[in-house]
Amino acid sequence: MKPTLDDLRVALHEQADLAAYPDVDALVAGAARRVALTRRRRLAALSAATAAVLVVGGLVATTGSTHRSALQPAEPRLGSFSVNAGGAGFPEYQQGMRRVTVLDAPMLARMKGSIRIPTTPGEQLVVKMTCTSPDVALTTEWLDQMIVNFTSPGGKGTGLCGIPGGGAGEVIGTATGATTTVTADVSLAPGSSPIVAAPKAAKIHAAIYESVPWQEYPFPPRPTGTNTPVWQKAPVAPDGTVTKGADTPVIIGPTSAADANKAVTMSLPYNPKRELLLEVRGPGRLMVLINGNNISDLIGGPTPVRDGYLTYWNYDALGNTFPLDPQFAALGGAAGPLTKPGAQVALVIIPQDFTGPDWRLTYQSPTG
Amino acid sequence: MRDTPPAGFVDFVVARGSALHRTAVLLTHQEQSAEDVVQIALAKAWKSWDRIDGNHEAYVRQIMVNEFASAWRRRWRGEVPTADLPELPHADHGDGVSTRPVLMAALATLPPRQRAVVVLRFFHDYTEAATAEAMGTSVGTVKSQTFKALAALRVSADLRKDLPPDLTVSAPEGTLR
Repeated sequence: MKPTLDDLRVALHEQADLAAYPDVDALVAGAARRVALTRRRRLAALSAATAAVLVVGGLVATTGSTHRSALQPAEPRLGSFSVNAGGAGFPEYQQGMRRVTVLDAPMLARMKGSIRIPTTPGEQLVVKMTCTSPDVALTTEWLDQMIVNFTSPGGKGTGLCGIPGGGAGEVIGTATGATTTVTADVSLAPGSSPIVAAPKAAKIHAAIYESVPWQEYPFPPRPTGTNTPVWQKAPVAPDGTVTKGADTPVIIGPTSAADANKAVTMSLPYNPKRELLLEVRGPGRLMVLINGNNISDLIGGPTPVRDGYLTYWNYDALGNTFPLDPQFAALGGAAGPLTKPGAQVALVIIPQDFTGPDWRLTYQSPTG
Repeated sequence: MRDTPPAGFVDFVVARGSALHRTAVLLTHQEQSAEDVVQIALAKAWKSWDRIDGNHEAYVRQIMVNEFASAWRRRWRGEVPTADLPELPHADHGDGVSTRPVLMAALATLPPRQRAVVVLRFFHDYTEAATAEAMGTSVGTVKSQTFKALAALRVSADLRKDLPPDLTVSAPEGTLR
């Protein structure tokens, strides 16, 4: 049984009730402090601009020459990139990718730098970013606003502070040679206006990763106790299907390592009230076809689809739902006329490289 | 810009600060971050306090939601690995088992904009149109974000039946766990 919207509403109110009563004085004082900081920054900027105009005017008037380098407004708290040999906590290998380098930079530094890194032509480059401070916890405000724009010859992307561990990362392009120059441009998010200074020791850590071919990736060892299909809730035949009635979920999946990579072909009646739930808990690759169309890319996995396959790189459990609707596949996910209920739909699952019964596909009523 | 709060500002915070904080806690899942979000929104509202026409609370809440959601818009994927697949327990119908911890844990994994939609629609009971206005987006986007969020939370799909069927087709990329 799944929770209802009423359950969700109750849960939200229960959770809100658990929140500590805020200190109203602190809220007002905090707002006042931020307003005052904004005003001081604006005044400082105005003063600097005015002073610069006066200096320029004076120099031009007295010497008739310009010394542009001396007249440029100073960048606040300039810093430089450095390579973090320790890796700043970013795993060496993660989700099909290898860590190439990690760059550190002070937060608040407005700067642009570049680094040439060894790459493999054709492999995807991804950046993950975190921000840390040794003294105090960084506020949401700063984590959300600090960004680094990365540019490589094959594309560009933006790293954000606010995703724990850097999340799945941001694709910044594809390597085109044995070395690739990546440019990193530190700035604040467009439209943001920070009104609280970041701690002085706060740092940005940006890890640049490169995708690794499946065959070359060092997969983690198989955890003990994962040789049985732990998700099994109903008897499952080797070919995968269980049907006890109209409301019974149809479960497709291997029961042992021996059949983990056997392709499954079946025909299911289309029911708009049912959905497919794909669950994976171990390294392997899966292709899903509906009426002959590969819909793997539409389903989406933890990393981009490679060679038409959803790819899973570790033993974290993940699940995705999607409709058993040929239009979904034929139209690439665009809206279209729905299939007539009851029409037979051909479903094919092609698994590869699984080392145990680590995947399952369930055709179920969302309330079931 | 003034040093002292505008007229009515402090009274407003005294009266509605707690409600704003509750919303912020649901968005951020952290007390400290929630206070930051509320303070940022109040500071921004301060500057235009006298020009706010009508509902000050809705105005501040709108700033909060957009502050929270805006910085995550360019996130590449929403997936967050979990130790186990979320098998939600039964709802609490007198059996003493609450769905709150599981639902809140699942809510925390949603992308911020989906989380904001859930909070506005099902905590504040905003209409789709009001939610769209608060988030500066279209009603269609609110519908699709709601669909994805509820699918991810595994809330009964029967309760999603008011959504147009094409949304089940046009929402393939979400992490529906």
